Amino acid sequence: MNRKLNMSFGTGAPVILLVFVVLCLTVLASLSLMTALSDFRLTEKSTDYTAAYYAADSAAEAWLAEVDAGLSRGTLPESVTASFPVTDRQALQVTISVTDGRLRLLEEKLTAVEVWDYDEHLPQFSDVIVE
Amino acid sequence: MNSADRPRSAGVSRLSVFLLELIIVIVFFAMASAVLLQVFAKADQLSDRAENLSCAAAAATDAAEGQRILSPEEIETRRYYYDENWEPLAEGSGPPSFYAEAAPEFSVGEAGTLVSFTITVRQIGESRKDADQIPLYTLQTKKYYSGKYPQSDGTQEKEEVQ
Repeated sequence: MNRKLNMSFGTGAPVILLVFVVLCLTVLASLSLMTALSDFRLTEKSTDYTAAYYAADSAAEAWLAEVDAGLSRGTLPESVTASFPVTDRQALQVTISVTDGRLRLLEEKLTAVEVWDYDEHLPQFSDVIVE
Repeated sequence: MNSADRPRSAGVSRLSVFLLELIIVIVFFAMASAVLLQVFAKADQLSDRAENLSCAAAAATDAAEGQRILSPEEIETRRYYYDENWEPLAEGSGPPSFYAEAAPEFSVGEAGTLVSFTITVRQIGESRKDADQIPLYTLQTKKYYSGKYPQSDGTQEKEEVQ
């Protein structure tokens, strides 16, 4: 009855453990790299948008300068509203008024270039919603 | 080999196989760790770059708006300093790690002045020398003032637009 409890790793156990640990570390490393990369791309998109907005705003200010120069020569602007593209879908719309040969900036707002067509994406499911 | 030696020899052989396996596992783990550590370091570096770029864009926007609200007489080249956590620093309150510089350029037209601002955000290196400053983000913006600036007599010909 004097049996000795033999607790030891068999041959191959460290290899299995190694494979498991390396696999876990590889997954974690890949996930952290992918997260960091997507974070960086999102930041780049955001900074590109900021630069695009300020480029449109600069174009609007240059237009105001042009209109004011025209007014000083006695030429009225062709339009009191001008639109400057920010992205493919957004534009900066500037509205001015001219009173007694003086230029006044009334409004400067971001607008959608295309109006959303609600009929384009009709519901494709045939479920009946019971009220 | 006699019968008394056999179990001991088998034990030694098993132990040496186990130790050999352990050595191989440690060597392989060291190699894998070296590669994976580089991946983690790269992820950390990318994360830092993303944070700096995002904060640099915010600092550039702040500097641009800070300049645009000024009257044309007050516009001059200004620097806005930040510490390592991108907290704004008052001048002389500590060593800055980043700064945003807004440089105006006046272009006098027929009826007014178009001021172009170039805002550059830079990271200050350890040596604090100009050559060691890393540009992070550049933003360009313009602002039109009805009136000719800068004027030597300090008068304004027309009111500012807006």
